[in-house]
Amino acid sequence: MIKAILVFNNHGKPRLTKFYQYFNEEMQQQIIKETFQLVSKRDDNVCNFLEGGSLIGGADYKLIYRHYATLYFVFCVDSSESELGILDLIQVFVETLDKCFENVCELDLIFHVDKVHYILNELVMGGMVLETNMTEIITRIDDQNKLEKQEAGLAAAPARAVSAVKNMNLPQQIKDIKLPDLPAAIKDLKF
Amino acid sequence: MFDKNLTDLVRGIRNNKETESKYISQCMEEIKTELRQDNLAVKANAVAKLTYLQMLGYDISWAGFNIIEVMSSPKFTYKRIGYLSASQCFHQDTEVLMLTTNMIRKDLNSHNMYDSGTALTGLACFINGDLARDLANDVMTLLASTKPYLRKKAVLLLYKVFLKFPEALRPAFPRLKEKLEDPDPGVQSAAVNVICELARKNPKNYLSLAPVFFKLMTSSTNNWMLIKIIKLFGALTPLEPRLGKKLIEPLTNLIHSTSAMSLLYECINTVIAVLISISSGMPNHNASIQLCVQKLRILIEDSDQNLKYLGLLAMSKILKTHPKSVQAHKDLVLQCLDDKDESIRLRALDLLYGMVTKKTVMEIVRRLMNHMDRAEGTMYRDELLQKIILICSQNNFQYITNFEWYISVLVELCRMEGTQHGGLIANQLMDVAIRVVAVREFTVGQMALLLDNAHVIVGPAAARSSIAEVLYAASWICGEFAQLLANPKATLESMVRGKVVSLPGHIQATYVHNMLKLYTHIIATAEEEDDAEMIQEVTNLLLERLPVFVSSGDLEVQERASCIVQIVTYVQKCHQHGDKIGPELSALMAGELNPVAPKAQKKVPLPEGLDLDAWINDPPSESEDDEDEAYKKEIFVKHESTSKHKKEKYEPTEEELQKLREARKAEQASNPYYVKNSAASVQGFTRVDQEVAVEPIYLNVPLKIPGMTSMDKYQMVDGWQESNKKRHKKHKKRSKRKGPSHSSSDEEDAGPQAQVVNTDVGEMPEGAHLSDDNDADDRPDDDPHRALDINLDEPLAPNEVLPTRSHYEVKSQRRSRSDDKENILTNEVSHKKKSRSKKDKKEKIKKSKKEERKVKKSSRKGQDNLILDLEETVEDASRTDDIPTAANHINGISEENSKEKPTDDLDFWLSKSDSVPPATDEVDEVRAEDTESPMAAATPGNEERKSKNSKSKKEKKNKKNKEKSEKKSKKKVKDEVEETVSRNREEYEETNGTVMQESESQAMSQPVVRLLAQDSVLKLMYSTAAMDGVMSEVLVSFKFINQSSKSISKLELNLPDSSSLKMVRIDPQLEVVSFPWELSGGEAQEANLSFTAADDTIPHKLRGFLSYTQEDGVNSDLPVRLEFPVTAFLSGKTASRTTFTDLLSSGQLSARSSFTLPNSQLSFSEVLEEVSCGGSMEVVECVDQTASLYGRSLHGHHVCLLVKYQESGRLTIDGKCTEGTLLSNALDHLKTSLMQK
Repeated sequence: MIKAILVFNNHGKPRLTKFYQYFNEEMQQQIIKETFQLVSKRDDNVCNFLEGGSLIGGADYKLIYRHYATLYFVFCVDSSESELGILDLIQVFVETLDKCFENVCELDLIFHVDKVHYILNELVMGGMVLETNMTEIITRIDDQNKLEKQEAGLAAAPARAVSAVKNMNLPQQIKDIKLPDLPAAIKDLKF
Repeated sequence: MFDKNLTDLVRGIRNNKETESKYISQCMEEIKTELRQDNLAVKANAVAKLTYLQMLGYDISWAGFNIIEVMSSPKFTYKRIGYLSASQCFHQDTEVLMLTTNMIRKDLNSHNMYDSGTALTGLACFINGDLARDLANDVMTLLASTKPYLRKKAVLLLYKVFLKFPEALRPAFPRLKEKLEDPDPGVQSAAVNVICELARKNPKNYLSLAPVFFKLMTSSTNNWMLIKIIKLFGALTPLEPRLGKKLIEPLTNLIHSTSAMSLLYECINTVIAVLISISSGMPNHNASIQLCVQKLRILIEDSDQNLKYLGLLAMSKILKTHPKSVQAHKDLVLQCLDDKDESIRLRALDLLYGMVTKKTVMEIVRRLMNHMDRAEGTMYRDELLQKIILICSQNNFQYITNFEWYISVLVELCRMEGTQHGGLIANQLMDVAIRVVAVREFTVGQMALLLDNAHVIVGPAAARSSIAEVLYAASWICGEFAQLLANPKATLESMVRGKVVSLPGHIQATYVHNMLKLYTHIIATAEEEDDAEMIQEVTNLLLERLPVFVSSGDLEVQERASCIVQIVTYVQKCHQHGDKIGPELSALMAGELNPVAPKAQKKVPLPEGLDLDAWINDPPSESEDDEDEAYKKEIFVKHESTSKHKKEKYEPTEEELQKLREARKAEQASNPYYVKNSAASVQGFTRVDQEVAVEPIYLNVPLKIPGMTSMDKYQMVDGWQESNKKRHKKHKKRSKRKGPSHSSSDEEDAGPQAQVVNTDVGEMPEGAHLSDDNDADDRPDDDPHRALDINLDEPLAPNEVLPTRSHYEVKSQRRSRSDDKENILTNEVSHKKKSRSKKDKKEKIKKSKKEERKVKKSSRKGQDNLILDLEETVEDASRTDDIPTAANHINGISEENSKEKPTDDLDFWLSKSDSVPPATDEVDEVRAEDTESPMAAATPGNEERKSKNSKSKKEKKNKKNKEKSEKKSKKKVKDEVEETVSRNREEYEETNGTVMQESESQAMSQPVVRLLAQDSVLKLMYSTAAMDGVMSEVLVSFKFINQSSKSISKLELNLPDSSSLKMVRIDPQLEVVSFPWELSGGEAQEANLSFTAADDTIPHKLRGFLSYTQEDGVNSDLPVRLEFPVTAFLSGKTASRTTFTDLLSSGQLSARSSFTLPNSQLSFSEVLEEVSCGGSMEVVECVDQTASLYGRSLHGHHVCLLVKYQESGRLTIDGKCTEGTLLSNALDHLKTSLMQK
C-alpha cells in the first residue's frame, strides 16, 4: 500500500499532496515539512530510499523519492510494495505528466494541480497501484479531457476569452524548468 | 464569469507573498459567497479553489455539504471536481458522508464509464463502514462490467470495502478469485494486488490459493504482477515449507533469466524466505544460498546506490539463518560502512550486528569506535553507539569473553559528546555489574573514578544530552557494592562535592540514597576498626552537605535527604553515647538483588483472598497472614525500588526487618524460580557486617582521566592473544566448559576468562512461566486487518450475503417478524441431520455475535441520528430475512467435504513435487508437471466461470468426485493427471441441466414453503422467490426429504415447459433435470431451479413427475404440480418511501381494485405476514392497523396495496397497479389464501 504521495519543490512548498490515510490539515503540513527536511538534506547521488519519518508510518514504512530539477516526488509506502517498482512508478508518473503537459515544469504543477491529481488518480487508486502502462493511462486521460471539452462546449467560450485576457497580464510565460534526461540507470528497471 | 478561478487564485497567492494569509482569508470570504449562489458552475469553481487551499493546510471541512452538491452535478467536469475535493478532505468520520450513499450509487451505475470511474476512485479515498456496507453490492455488480477499466477499479475498491466492512469478505471472495483469471491483464493484476494485500496480513487463510498463483507466476510476463505474487509467496512459505520446495526451482530460473532488477530482487527475497522456512533437507539448499549471496554481492558492488541499499537489506535477512555465508563478505560490509550515504551505512551497521563472533567482536567494535570519532552528526553517532551496545549485549553478552574490556568500552562511550543514549549506557553498566560477578570489583573501581570525574563527563554540553544518566548507574553501583570500593570515603566525598545539585532530580535522588549506603558501609568498617575519627569525619561531612538536598525542589530528593539526615543524626547521637550501631545500620541495606524476569511483574498472580473490590478499611480477619502479606506486597514492587522506598513507605523496626528477612528467605527457599545465592556470594557482598577484603586497583595506563580505563589496553592484549592463539584457545575452551556451572561459584578464579554472565531467566512469581505468552496477535486492536482474519475455505454460511438495498420500514414490526423467522429456522435446522448440528451451532454463534455488534452499533448511532438508526434496523431485518433463502444453498455433502477439501487440494498439489526427485536431468519433466498440476487444481475455477454461478452443490459434488479420482492418481504416475482432468470435465458435463443460483446478489423476503408432492418415501417441498432486476427469473427452491430409512438415488425431475413458463436450463436439449446426489435415509437435500415467465400477470401451473430409485432397485414416479400464483412473480425490493409516494402520485397506477373480508379470523400482524410473505410484498409503511405494501413484478409492473384493519375484524385491501389483470389475479390469490387461514 502507498500511504501518501507528496510532491514539493526545493523549498518545501507543496505542489501536490495525496494522503491515502487520514491526517488532519495541520498534521499533513507537519508531515510535508518533516519529509522535506529528511529528503532535502540528501545528496543527489545517494540512494532513493529512506526509512520513514517519525510522523508518517513506522518501521514498516519507507520513503521512496526521486528528485527532478526543482521538484521532489516522494512516495511513502509499506513493505508490500517493491522498492524498485515504486521508483519505476514515479518515473511513469513523471513521464505521463511530461506527455500531458508537453515538457512539464514546476509551473504546470502549480497552476494545474487539479489535472495532476486526475492523472495520478489513473495511476494509483486508494493507495494501490492501478495502472502502470503509460499508453493506457494517457488514453484514459485524453478521453476524460475530451469529455470535459464536450461539456464545456460553446458555453465555455467566453470564459476562455476572459482567461486569455487574464493570461496576457502574466509577466512572462516562463517554462524555465525542464526535465533532465532520464537517467540511463533506470532504463533497465523498466517493465 | 469574472469570478476568480483556480489559476487566478494561484497567481494571486504568488503575487502576495508577504501578505499571503491575509490574501487567502480574503479569498475564503469570496469562496463562501460563491458557495451561497445557486449556479453550480460557480460552486464547482469555488470547490476547486478550496481543494487547492486544502493542500496549503487550510481546513475546508466546513464546505462538506457544498462539495457533495458539486459531486452530485450531472456534468462530468463538476462531478470530478467534487470527487477530487471529497477525496482530499473527507474521511472515516466525516458526517456528511451519510448523505452521499444514494448519489454515489447512482454514479457507480452511471452509463458514463468515467462517472463511475471517478466515483470509484473517490470512494477508495473516503469510504467508511456505512458506505462500504451499503455499496458493497454495487461494487460487486461492477466486477461483472464489460469495461476492464471499471472492473479494475472495482476490484481495487473491494479491498477498501473489506477493510471497512469485513463481513463482505466471505461472500465476495469467490468473485474476487475469479478475477485472477480475468482476460484483461490490468484486472488480473488488480485482483492479485488485492489478494496480496489481504494475504500479507493473514497469510494462512490464503494458502489454498497457492496453486492459482503458482500458475500465474509461471505463465505471466507482467513484472508488476510477478513482483506481487512473488512477494505473496514470501509471506506464504513460512506457513508451508513444501510450498517453498516447489518454488525454489521456478524462482531460481527467474533469477537467472530476468533482466528487471526489481523482479530479480524480489525473487532473491522470496528465495531467502523459502530457505529460512525449510532451513535443511534440500539437496541444492546450499547452492541456492550461494546463488543469492552471489547475486546480492553483485547488487552491493553496483554503483547504483539503490541497488547497494537493497542488497544490504536482503543480506541482513540471510544473516539470520545463514550467518556463515554472509560473514564471508565481511570486507564488503565494512567497506559500506565508509559509504557517503547514511542509509547505506545504517544498513551495513545492521549487518555487522549479526556478523559478530567471539573472535571478531573486539575488532569490529574498535572499528566502530574509530568510526564514531570521525562521524559527523550526532544522530548517526548515536546510531553507532546504540549498535555497539547492541552488538555487545546481544544474547546475554554471548560474544563477550572479556568483560573488563566491555566495561572499558562503556566507559569510553561515556566520553562521547551530546549522546542521547546515556540511559542505555547506564543500563549496560548496571546490567554487567549485577550479572557478571567476576568483573564487579573492576566495575566498581571504574565507577568510583567516573564519580570522581563527574565534572568532566557532565560538561557544558550535557544539557542537551542524557549522558548524566551514567552517573545514576555509577552512584548506584558504588553504593550497592560499597564493600568492593578501594576507598569508600573518597568516593563519598566525590559524591557530595561538586555540582550534584545541577543534575536531574532522579539522579540526585540516587546520589542521596547511595550516600547513605556508603555511609553505612564506612561506619560499619570504622566501628570494626574502632576508627572514631573516621566516623566523626564522615558524619560531619554528610551533616554538612545534606541540607543542600533537603532544600531541593525535587520532592523525591528532599524526602530522601531529610530521612537520611535523621538517620545520620541518630547515628551521631548513638556514637556520642558510645554505642555501636554499625550492624543495625547495615541491616537497613541488607538483602541481595537478583535479576527479575522481563514479564515477572505481569505474571504475579492475584494472591488468594485478595479482593480488589473489597473495602480497604475493612480488612480480612485472618491475622496470621500478615507476614505473607508483607512479602507479597514486595513482589509487586520492582526490586530496585524495594530497597529504595522501603524506609519511606513504612518504617520498620529492627524486629520487623528481621521477621521480613526470614519470611523472604523461607519464601525463596521454596521458590523454584528464585536464583539462589551461593555461600560465596553471600559472603562476598550481602553481609556487610562480615569482613571483606578490599583490594585497591592500580591502573598505570595513561588516560585522559587518570585511573579511568580504556579499551586500548585490551586491544593490546587482543593482539597478544592473536599471536598466541593456540594457547589462548585452549584456555578459552576450559573456561567455556566451566560456563554452565553456576556463576558465583567461579569467583575464586576471577580471571577475565571466567567472567560468566548470570543468564538465568530471572525471578518469576510462583507458578508462572516465561513461555505462557498471552499476546499472540501483536497487532493493535484497531488494526482493521484483525477483523479480516477470516477463513475463506469454509462454505458460505446462510447469513453471509452482501446486504442489498431495502427501503424504510417500520421498525418494531419487522423486528418481531424476523425474530419469529429465526425461531422457525432454528426449529427447522434442529430437525436436520445430526452431523450438521455442530456446524450450525457455530454459525449461530457467529450470527448472534454479528447481531450483537449491529445492535451495539445502532444504539451508538441512534443517539446521533434517527434516520441512521432506521437504516440500521432495516439492514438488520433484511439480513435476517436473507437467511432462509440462502439456507437453501447449504447441503450436507458440501458441508462435510468443504472443510478438508481446500487443504486436500493443496496437499495434492504440493505432494506432487515431492514425489519427483529434483534431479537435474529431469528438469524438463518437472517443469512440465509444474504447469500441469496447477492446471488440474485450477480446473474447477474455470468451470465455475463457465457456469457463472459459483457456489452450488453440483460443483461441490463434482469436486468431491474429482478429488477422489485425484487421490487415486496421486498414487499413480503423473501422466494420469491429464486424464483426470478430462474425466472431471466429463463428470461435470454429465451433471448439466441443473441450474445453480447464487444467493449473494439477491435478497428476498421470506418465501412460504409449500408442499409439492409426497408419498411414503419422499416428501417434496418448494418455495418461490422472484429475482427482480437483471435476471427476471423466479427462483424455486426444492427440498427433498427422504422419509424412509432406505437411501434414494437417481432423482430426476421431469417438468416440461408450458407455453409461457420455462425452466432455465444450461443445456436446452435436456428435458430431464437429474440430481446427482443420493439421499440416505432421513436425509434432506435442496436444489434450486429458475423459471422465466413470458406473462407475469396471470397465474401459471406446471405438471410433471419426479422419478427416483430406491436402494432395493424399485423405481417410483411422483406426480408433481407446480403452481405459480401471480404473487410469485412479485418482489418487494427497491422501493423507498419517496419513490413509493412518487409512484402513487404519478398517476401511473391506472388499475384499481379492492376487496373486503367482513370478519377475518386473523390478527392484523398475521394478515400482514401473509400478504408480505405469501404475496412477496414489502411493507413500506405501517401505522396502527393500516399498512401500505409494495411489490414489483418480473416485468416491471408496480403493485401497491393498502391494508386496513378494523377492530371488528373487518379487513379491507385496496390495490393499485399498472396492470389490471395482474392486480385482480393478485388480489384473488390473496383473498383465497387469507380466507383459507
